[in-house]
Amino acid sequence: MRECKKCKSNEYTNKQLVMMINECGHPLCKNCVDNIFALNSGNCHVCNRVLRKNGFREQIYDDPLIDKETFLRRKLRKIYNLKLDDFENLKEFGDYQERFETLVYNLVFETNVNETNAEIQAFEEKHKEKIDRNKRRLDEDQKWVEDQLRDERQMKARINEHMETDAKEKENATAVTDTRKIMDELRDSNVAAEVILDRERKKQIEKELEEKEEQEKRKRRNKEMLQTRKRAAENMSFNTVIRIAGRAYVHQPLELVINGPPMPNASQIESMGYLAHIRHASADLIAGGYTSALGCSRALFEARIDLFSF
Amino acid sequence: MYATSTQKREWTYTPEKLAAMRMEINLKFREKYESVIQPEELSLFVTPEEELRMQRSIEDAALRFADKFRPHMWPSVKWTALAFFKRAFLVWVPSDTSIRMVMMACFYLAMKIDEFYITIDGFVQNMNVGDPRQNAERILKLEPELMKVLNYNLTVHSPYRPFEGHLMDMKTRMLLLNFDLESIRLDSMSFLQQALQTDVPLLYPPAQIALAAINYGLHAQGKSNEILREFLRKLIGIEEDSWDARNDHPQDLEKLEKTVTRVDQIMKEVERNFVAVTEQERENHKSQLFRMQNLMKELDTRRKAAWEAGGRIGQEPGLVQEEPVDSDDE
Repeated sequence: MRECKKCKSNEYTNKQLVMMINECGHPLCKNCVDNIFALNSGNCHVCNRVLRKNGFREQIYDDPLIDKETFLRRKLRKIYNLKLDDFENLKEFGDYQERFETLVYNLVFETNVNETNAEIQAFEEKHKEKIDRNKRRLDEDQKWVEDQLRDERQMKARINEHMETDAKEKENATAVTDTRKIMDELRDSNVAAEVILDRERKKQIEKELEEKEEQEKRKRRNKEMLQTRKRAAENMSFNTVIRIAGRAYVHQPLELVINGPPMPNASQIESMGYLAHIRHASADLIAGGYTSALGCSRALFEARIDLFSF
Repeated sequence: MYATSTQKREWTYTPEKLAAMRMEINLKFREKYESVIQPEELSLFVTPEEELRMQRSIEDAALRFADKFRPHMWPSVKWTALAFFKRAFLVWVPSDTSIRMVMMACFYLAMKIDEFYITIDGFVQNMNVGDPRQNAERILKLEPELMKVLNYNLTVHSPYRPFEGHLMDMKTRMLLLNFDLESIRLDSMSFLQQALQTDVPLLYPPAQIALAAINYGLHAQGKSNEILREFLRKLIGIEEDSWDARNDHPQDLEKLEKTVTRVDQIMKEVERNFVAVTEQERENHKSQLFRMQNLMKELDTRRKAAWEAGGRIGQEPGLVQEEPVDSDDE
């Protein structure tokens, strides 16, 4: 669960919680950032480092360490963007990549920060030309990804085109039969030609209007759907939902089938004098919750149960 | 509650079904050894009736053991133990097991079930045969096997509490009797003791057996069935033999008649099937069981030899098959 260490608000108490993180890697929620860094600069609440408000970015990964690493890595990649063909052989390229990992590690865990920054600066000055040139160049992997994306886009476009032509053809076909019908009618019937044409035009306009309406309706429906979904996501609750459904529960007392003569009830056991024929319960038995009526009713019950089972 | 118990659902039979089951296990047992048996040994493979007689003599001894047991056990322990014993021998065969030990294990288990707590050491002190340590070991080993055979249906409803219930009802409702109802207790208890040596516990609901015991006691006091009828009329709530009642609630009268018939039936069943075991019979059974047990060992080795000679096809005879056990610990 994500929680702001400063104000203790978390995902459950605040549905719109946004966690922010700065270069030192100690997350804060957006509200805290707005409060503490109202003057654009302030101290980190954990490590007391001086931070600037515009250095804050949204935290993407739950683990602040990983977030910090990806951020630094991306930043460093802008400088360390040499490609394989900038080196004489594979080994040198490997060494360069290894060095890059070491630098990232140093920055993330803040060991030898000054030396590392100095090294980066030196590297930047030394390879300024190559870096500038590589800014526009893509390496093999990036090229491959681009290719794939392009292919996919083209594929989609082709399919769309295909479908559109199909639809058009269909439309044409119906239009053709319609015109043919109209021609026949014009030739065969003795109604004035203007009347027929008028009627047909009117039909066409109506059809177009209908189509338009239909489209709008569809659009509206889609929009509504999106909105309701969004609203549902915002109002998602983990409370138990009380659903009121079905009939109300009506308690029916359980029926005890004895299959024997009827049992006398508790008051009858006393009034009919059953208790004269059972040993009197001693004081310690009564203290334990036993009464002689209890023992009596047990014996009577067992004498009756299934007496009439033949 | 008996009506929903495993006793009613799983362990109550009709006499015909009982006989069929006994026949079946007897035949199965005979079949198992048919290939290796020799003609002169055939006499030891007894009929179901003889097996039942063997059970009865063990039961007889067990009841005497129970009455001599110290501390004095309450009667429902006896009933539970003998019910376990009868149930177990609807699955096992007397010749195949050490039947005397099974009876002891039944008693030991029944004491636990009926909350008559006694330690195994206290239990074996009451046994007058064998070495106490060995006995304890055998009983404890048999106990889980016994429970398995009983399918873990361990609750047994005995007629002793229903008996007290009926007696209480009688004392409360039958105010015009001119004798002490307590006088029937001794005879009724001996009736239940006799019923224990019959199949009655496997056939009828405990409430009915208890009523039969009451009626037996009444008969022993020289009374007729009329007291039972009167009692049932009051219990069901039928007015004194009026014609109105006959017309208004015919089903009530039918219940009354059926109950009386059932009580007579149970009493006859006990009377007919309870045959006291004679000293001679006991000796015969003892020697027969002893010879059978020796023969069993011999037959098992023979069966194994046949299995080895036949090229060890199939499962080794006499080997206990371990079934996988579901355990919560795993």
